[in-house]
Amino acid sequence: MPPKTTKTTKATTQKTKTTTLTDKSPKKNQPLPSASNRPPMTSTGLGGFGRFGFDQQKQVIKPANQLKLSETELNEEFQLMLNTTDSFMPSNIVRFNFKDKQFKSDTNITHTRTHFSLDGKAVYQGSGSSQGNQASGQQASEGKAKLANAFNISTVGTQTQRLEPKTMLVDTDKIVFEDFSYTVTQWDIFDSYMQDQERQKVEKEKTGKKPGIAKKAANQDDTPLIPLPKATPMPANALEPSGGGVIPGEFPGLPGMSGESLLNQQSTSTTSNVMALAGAQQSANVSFETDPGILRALQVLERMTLQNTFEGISEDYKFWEDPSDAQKGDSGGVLPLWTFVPSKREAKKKTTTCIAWHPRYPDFFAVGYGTFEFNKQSTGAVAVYTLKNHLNPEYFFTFDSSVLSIAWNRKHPPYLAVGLSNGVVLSFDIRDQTNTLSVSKLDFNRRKGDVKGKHTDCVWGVVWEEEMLSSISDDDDELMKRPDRSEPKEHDEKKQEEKRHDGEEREKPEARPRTQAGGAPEEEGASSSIEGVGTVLSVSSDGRVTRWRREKDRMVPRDVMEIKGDTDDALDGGEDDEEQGETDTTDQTIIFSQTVSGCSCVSVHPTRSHLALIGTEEAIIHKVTKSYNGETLQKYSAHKMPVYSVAWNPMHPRVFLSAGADWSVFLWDHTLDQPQLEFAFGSSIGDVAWAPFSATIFAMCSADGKVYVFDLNINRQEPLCEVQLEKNTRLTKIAFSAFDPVILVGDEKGKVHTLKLSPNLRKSYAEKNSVEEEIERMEKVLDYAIRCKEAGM
Amino acid sequence: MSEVEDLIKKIANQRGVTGCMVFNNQGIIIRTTLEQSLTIHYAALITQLCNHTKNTVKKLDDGDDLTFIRLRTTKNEILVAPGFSRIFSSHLSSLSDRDYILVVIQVPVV
Repeated sequence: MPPKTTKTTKATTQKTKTTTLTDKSPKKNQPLPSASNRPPMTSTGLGGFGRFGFDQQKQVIKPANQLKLSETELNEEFQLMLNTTDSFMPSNIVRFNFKDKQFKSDTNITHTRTHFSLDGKAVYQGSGSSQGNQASGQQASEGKAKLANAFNISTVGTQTQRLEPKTMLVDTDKIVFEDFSYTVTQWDIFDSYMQDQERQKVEKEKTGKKPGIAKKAANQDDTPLIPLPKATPMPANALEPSGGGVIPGEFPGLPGMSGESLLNQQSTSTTSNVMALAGAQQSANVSFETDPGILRALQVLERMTLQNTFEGISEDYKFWEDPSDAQKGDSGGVLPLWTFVPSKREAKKKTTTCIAWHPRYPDFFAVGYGTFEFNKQSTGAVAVYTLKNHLNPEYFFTFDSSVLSIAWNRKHPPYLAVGLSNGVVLSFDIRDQTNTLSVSKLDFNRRKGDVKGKHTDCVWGVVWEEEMLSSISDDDDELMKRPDRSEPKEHDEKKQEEKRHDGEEREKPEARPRTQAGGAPEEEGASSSIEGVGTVLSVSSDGRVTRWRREKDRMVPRDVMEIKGDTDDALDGGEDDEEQGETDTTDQTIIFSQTVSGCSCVSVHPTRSHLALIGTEEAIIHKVTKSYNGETLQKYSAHKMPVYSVAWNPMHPRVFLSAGADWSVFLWDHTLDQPQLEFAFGSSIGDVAWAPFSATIFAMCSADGKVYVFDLNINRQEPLCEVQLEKNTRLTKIAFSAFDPVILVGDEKGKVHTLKLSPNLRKSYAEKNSVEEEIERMEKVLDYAIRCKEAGM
Repeated sequence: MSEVEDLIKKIANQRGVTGCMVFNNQGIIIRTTLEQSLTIHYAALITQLCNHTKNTVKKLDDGDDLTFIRLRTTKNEILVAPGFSRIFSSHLSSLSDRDYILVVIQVPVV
């Protein structure tokens, strides 16, 4: 419906207006401004409508083209309506409603058009805001408490703070750009791929074991792509203190080296070199760990650092001479050097049960750990130390039961024989730490029960034997008998010696106990020595002396003899006793005479290797011969309690010492069955040892922590040195070094003390007397002893 | 393999030892107990020193070879063992790729 316009035709309005006008009488003097009354047109144009005003006498001006209507048509009334709808607004607006997801017709169509709007600041007086705006004084004066509107509505617009964006510039370090170009061929790709494969393989092996190292290797694998020349150019930067961040051989572009020169250098090398570098890093890590030289190198370095730290001790060991000895007269002292405390768990809190210096290397020695108490059987260990490193042993082995005796093989340096308290005897090469030989031996002994014929009790002594018999037989040997000094049989003796030589060698193949296994096969009747490692002779508390043969993975024992004891006093030359087992005919003694004596120590004669001394728990010392079936040649009975140690004099062939639990040490001449000299102490003696450089010097250690050193040449009754080493600790073993004037003393807490003898105690060492002189001195001592005896002392 | 690691740790924990490092003859760091930048510094300098010293010894006497360098300074002592794996073998070859340089820095307790 077209909206009706507000326009009205001019003509009709005019017409109606004129009719009303004529009704009223116009007044001349009162020009009323009304629609009908027009003020007279004056020349000044007053009266508002003056210019456009209508004259009373209207003149209707009709345009030429006006529609000419008839009278009736003119009087026709047209009705016009005004409404508020906007005719231009469509009435069927449809919009898409996103909430309902469909088109909906918008019914709310405003027909209002705003042409102008102005928000005024006038506030209605009755509204709350106007009241609030007015002075509250009004309210106060009125005395009424009018509640203010909590929401202050004001039409004042507020402006939030606008943060102005500002541009800032940041400077970074200059990024160095290098030009690089390279030609890649398929060969290069293949090479690098292969290198990568290898590297990954190696990494896979290493992960799980040492993730830390793998990571580190990975980090250092970020090597540059630029291959480097093989010769390492030392960058000049490295010498500047500030430019220390250069890894030679790993840095690609060094300032100063243009890319071109690099390319020239790498003309011969390929990408594989790059990967080789990366691979080299990786393989360097791997090979570093497996390189056997490295272990050795590190060991030496460790010793060097130790030497630096403990410089004083090393120097004392070599150079210290106690100057106060000059004032002391004859007595001397000992200087404590290193103390070897086992760091490994297995050896802690164990007693040092045996110490053995290595026969060939001056600084090597082995220490056995275990316990002497029979109620508390525990595991044992052997540690091989060097004087150069007193914190950590060079080798360390553990065993099921306490180690009671150890011995080094003289001819074959790495072989060690060990006797345990469960009766097992082992011998192995110390270098084979994880070798099947020693492991299987241990396992064998542990798992498959015991070797048939092994000892049934503690093994107190082990000695290595060589194949050669002693070349000097008893009859020919002058000095073995007490010299009457009336038998100059030298020439004859030599001839007899040679005959005996041959005779003995021919007898060798017959001597069954001498067979050697685990080496070159025995040659029949040959006089040359058979190169086996040797056999081990062991003595144990079960009274047996057994010879053990080394076989592939075990030791095979064969009894040499049994040490039988009897209740009667030792008889001279009582050889028959052992074999028959009967001495006196009384029934009671038959039983007693068949008992065995437990052996507690053994010592083999230094030059006549078929002779040995065995000390027993019955306080009797047996001199036995190991050859053939073994016999006791002589018994020495002077101790009252078990004999803990026997030792042949290293130079004088007739003399030996014995020490026992009865607080005494005896010096013997093996041809006489009474001790020559007796030394008494305040507690039981753990061990006694001769000095290797003298026939008259010996030392012993006692259970009250004291170490005594004697020199019979100087003082035949008193020790030259009596030192309290430890308080409340029993000293168990003592050993002289064959090369230096140093002794090792072991105690029951597992510590091994190194002591250096002061000059007074080692005069023979300094003087370097010959063997004969030493023997001469010993002879004098023996003479003195005899004189004492005759005098009734 | 772990023995090597144990030994390095033992040396590094020794009284007075500041640090223990292993490089190969090209100066690539293999093991170290010091911090990285210092180790890099040492690597560069000591590799040079080893090469120089080795050349000196060889030129003076062809059959001779460098076994150890022990540098005592006012503040500490630097122990360098270059080309070690060759020392104990029967042939004394010149610097090969498999040689390692071991360095230990110690403050000697006097």
